[in-house]
Amino acid sequence: MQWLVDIFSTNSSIFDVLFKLFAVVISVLYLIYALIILRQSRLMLRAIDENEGGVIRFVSFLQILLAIFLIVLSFGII
Amino acid sequence: MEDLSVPSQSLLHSFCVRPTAKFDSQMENEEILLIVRAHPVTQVPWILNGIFILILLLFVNIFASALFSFQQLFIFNVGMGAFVFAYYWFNFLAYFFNVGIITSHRVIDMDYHAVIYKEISEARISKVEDITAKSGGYLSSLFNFGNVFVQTAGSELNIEFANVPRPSDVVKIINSAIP
Repeated sequence: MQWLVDIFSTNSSIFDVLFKLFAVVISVLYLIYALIILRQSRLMLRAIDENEGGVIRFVSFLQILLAIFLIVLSFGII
Repeated sequence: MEDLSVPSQSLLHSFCVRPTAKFDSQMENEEILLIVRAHPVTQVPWILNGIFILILLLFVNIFASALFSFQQLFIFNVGMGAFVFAYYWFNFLAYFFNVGIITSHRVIDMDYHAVIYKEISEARISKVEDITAKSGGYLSSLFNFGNVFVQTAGSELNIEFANVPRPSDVVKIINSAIP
């Protein structure tokens, strides 16, 4: 286990940059996914509406807020 | 014995008799008699998968705390939380919008494969020739769910409702709608 810790600590700056890059890319992909799900849930509610539309739209929108929070958080990593 | 002509909702909205719902291709004088979804117990595997990922995340945190800084660990946890949330929401949408609709005019099977692929099959109720309810296995016997096959005459599609609750009641409702 220690050897793994050593690898990361000796190249900490490179590792931090890679981690940040990875986090940003994943967060942006998550935002795209959340937008598709929001759009699709609206289309599905148009196909069948059972009075739960408000909740479904809200949760889909919540996912977008979460994605934006993730992106902001990813940029904030040192 | 429940009266199937009175509006009711049971089993987490998986068996809705005469609901106040609308669908896009609904005609003016068309009344919805029944909306069915898969039985909630058939959704247990993905709920357990999500819980398993969260438990796994706890163990990963124990080992990862030596490798990552607090900030990195925090974003990793938020990211994994978002992933589990997305997983749950995706499966819920797939469950909620895969419905079978029985109206006074038609039998409709609305399927969304992987949420983004839509497939709607419908048959006029007057063309229905044969309805079969099948259920087998311990779980389906215990929770009373099964498959309902609606066979139609001519070139119209045959329709299948998979893992729906109370299959015999579904057959009864379709039969009562046939003129």
